[in-house]
Amino acid sequence: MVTRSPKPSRAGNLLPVLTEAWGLFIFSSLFALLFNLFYTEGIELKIKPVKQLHLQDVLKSQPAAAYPGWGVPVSPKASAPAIMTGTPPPATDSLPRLSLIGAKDRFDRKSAIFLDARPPDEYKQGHIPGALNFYADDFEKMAPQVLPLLPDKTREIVAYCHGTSCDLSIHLAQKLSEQGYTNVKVFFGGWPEWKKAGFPINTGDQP
Amino acid sequence: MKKTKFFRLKPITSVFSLFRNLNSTVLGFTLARLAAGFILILASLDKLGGAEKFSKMVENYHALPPELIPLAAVVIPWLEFFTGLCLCLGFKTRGAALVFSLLMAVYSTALAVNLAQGVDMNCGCFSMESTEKLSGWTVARDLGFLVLGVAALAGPKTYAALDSLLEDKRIKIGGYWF
Repeated sequence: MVTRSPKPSRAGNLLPVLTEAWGLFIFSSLFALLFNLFYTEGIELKIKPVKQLHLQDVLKSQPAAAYPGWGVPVSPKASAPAIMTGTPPPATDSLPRLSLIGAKDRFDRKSAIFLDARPPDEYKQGHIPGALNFYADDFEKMAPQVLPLLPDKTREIVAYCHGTSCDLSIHLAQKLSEQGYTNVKVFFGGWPEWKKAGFPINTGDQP
Repeated sequence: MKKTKFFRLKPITSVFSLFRNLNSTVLGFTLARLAAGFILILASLDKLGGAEKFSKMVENYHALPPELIPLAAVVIPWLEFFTGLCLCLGFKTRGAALVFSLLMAVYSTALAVNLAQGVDMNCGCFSMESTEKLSGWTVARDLGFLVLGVAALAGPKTYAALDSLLEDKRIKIGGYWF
């Protein structure tokens, strides 16, 4: 005897459809997240809202408290391959900072203007190619020469000096933001990290 | 004597024999399914690698909370791509058609809301570079796509679908059908 299966009802049809759709969604999402993870132009998934950056707030607090790594000399014989030397600056939320990798990324893409906040004689001994010298302590003196080269105030600017033990880049970033520059970041590792990593350098007083 | 049964493909005697048994209604639904899949793949291709740019575009629509925008910008293009692929192949057709319909419903709502608020912005519907502005036409187009999606969802089983093939040629391993 042949038993006929009952004709599936409309509601019975709905569940497999939902399962298929859900499966497709999960598969696509996982694939997309993995792709984003390994793709060179993947983006950072900021699930938590990013606080607006207020440089002044950080500078008001004591630098020593804000950055315990400061004042610690970078040992010249660090065994680790120079990706992260010294104590990395702690998360201060409000400070726009860049790691060595972040700085190199902007350097490669030529997406940011680099500013060297060290004194001119140190700049002459070696600097990141393309970086303009802008000694933070001589801001007023150097501003008329350098500021005309930075007409776009929304352009990303990366300030650096000689590493985590130096606050020239912070001062420079602060002064620039007072001038109305909105996208100034500080490369904390600065010159020592860059040089140690073996990235390209330039010497002399030309950028 | 052992009986051996040979299966032979029917020779194609004429081109018309291929179409003799085609049902024009089913053919119409097949074309709708293929069109929907093709459109979705086309729309996703430009966005697949450009999550950063696409996230700005999503942001312009003011439809999502800011925390979810990067996630959406990463997931949506691939969801579009795989949904389109499923529709084109006829694989998991109904589920893909449901996702397609939902996507189109969300898009047309977002477009319509922004249009009603008089936001002057690029549609970014197919290519992120195109300067096509929001207009009644873009909303109507997405609603038209929605009709295609509903047709694929609620219509009969269509031709040239992987689903039908897999249904007939299931394999039995260890007592279970796969």
